[in-house]
Amino acid sequence: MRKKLVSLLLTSVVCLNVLAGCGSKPAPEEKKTPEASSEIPEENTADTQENEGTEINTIDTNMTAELNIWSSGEELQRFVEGFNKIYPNITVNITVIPNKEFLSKLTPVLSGGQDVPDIFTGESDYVKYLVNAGVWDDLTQEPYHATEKLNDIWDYVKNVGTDDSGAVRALSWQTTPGSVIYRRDLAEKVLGVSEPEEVSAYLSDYNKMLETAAAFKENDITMFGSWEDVMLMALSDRQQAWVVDGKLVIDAKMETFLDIVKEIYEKKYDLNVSQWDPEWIAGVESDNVFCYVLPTWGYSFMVKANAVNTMGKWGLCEGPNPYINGGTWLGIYKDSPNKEAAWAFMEYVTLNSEALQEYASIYGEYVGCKSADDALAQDQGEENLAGQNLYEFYNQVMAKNPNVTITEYDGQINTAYKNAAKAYATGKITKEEAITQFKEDVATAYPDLTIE
Amino acid sequence: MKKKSINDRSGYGYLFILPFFIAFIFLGLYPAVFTFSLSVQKWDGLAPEKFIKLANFERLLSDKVFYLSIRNTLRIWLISFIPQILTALLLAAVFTTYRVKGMGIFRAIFYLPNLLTAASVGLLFHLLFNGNKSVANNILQALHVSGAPFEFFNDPVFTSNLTSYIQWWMWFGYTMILVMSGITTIDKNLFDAARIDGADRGQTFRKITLPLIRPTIVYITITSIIGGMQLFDVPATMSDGTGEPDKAILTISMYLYNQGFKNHNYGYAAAISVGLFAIICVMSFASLKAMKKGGNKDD
Repeated sequence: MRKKLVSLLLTSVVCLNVLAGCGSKPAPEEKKTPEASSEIPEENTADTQENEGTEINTIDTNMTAELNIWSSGEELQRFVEGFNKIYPNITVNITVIPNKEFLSKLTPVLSGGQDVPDIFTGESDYVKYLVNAGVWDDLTQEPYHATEKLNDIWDYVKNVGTDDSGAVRALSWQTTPGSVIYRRDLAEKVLGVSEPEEVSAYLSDYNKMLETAAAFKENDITMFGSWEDVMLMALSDRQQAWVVDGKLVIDAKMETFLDIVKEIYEKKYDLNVSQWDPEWIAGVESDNVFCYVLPTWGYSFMVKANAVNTMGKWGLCEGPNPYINGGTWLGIYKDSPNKEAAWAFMEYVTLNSEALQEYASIYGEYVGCKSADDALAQDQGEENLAGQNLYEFYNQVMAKNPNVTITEYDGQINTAYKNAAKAYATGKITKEEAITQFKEDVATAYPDLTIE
Repeated sequence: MKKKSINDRSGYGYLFILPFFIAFIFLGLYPAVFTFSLSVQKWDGLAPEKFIKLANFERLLSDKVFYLSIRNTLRIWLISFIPQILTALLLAAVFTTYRVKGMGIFRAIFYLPNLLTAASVGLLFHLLFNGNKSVANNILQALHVSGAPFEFFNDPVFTSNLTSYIQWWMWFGYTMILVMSGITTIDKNLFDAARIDGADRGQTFRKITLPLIRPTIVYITITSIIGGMQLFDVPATMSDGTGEPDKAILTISMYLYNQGFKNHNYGYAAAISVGLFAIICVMSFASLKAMKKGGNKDD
């Protein structure tokens, strides 16, 4: 009997551990120094210095503070050296947490209110969730008063960082308009032209784009890396976001896109892999992938980063519609004890035109500050793009005001859409079933949304 | 009575087990209780919690995806567990009855997969089978297998069975070592007596070894149920967290994780967690009971 009791007890302890494992909050993985909240010294007006381009700054550049920043990428680290030249006494500690784990690390810390970083980032998939939750401070209010400085920022950056009440809570160092990143030599071979405007003419609408894909297929060249790339462009072809007033909206364009996916799959116009799969990346160096439909980040982090033998053979042109997709924003935690220092850093990273120009000239990223992009558009073009100036190109895309349709639900809804599209493309289900499956998946993820 | 104060050490026992219970209360019991309380609330992780009574459980009971995830988890577990225990028994029987040269090396090799992180194993197999130019497809094409290259990860049956295979491959060595240690605790005299009575090796294994390692088998089964029901890393890394194709490898834990950390329905995720807890409890007690019942018959 006692043995039974013991085994019963042991079993329940083990079982309870199951629950505990699920309920316990994951701790951030790095050794954090809790004494981050050093006091900001009194403002020293004698030390006032002009450093922000047109703005006269009354912030004390000698202020001492230790800033803790969580970022889902490496980029912010690149600004620290330049920042410390102006603010030598602000220590910036950046913890990089991979995007996939970012929210699962951040939300427990935010809900506990302990050891929350002064600044943290949010990627486009969930940035709206953070913006609408009000965990970042409104930058138009005390102590930031950023309203006027925001004029030099692209609307996309500002709008995504603005919540429903009009409070600007997040900004970014980058803007992410898209392009068709294509191989000039392959275009010359198949289409007989290689300049961006000429190639664009072959991609002026989705049907024409598929006809062009057929021409490449005849030459044993795969048009796209993955249809998932094309979806990034198609998302900006919509007039409405996935969710409007708590209701799921399936734009007619997204229904049509299902058929485009099917055609790409059936006629083998892509490599039949997902984005970031090794084969998708390897396509950059092969001679049988014509283009990648990707925004700025896709060009700098993927194509340019991997082009060795194909260096100088690339070009950027426009597809059927201008588009913009992705990006990483950052904001200041509403209860941060280091708001002034945090703002100094954020201002440097997102609004300081000179700093952004310097950053862009080293890393080749298209930035969120208009005056910086305009200045860079005057420079020489890129070697990898055979002399094309990417800033000039992206400025043109931005001038066309691509539709912006980011919602806080996008990450999961896009995944559900991709799964449904793939099931339809591979012939497992009909188009109607795909739409039903998509709606069911969205309902499972977000039961509060109205779905008709 | 007179010597009790000096020699009675029963109190020390409690002192020695105290550290475990302290850790358990804070790291095990408290989160578990918190999970229960969270399961009757609506919480997106950032806004204040809202008490919604049993709404999460009502939703859970009518949630098709939850039932699908239970079926997936059970299927993946069962298809990996049965071969796992059979292989372990067979190998343990061979290793303990025959003198195999280099047994230590074999044992180490069989155990090795268990030392790898499950997440990296999932990624590894994803690389082996994903895409037209994957290792598997390259080999099949080189062998001129008709139909190659295959879209392995478009096939729910293949993906589910591959997950089971990985689980088998990772765990049969561990199970084998447990079975072997169970066998070595059996009194040698019993085997000698059996041999003198004319029993052959098969009979000895069936009539002596198997009944006597029953406690080991019970232990293996219950820990395997608990581990199997919580299966997460391998299918999650293999399908990038989605459980695709056709949600074939969406396990209960993955669904729980997605509802919590991706959809921000922490309350509902906690309800799934409670559901998982109930399932594991029922299965553990049922298997305990089933095997105890069989055991009593032999006593």
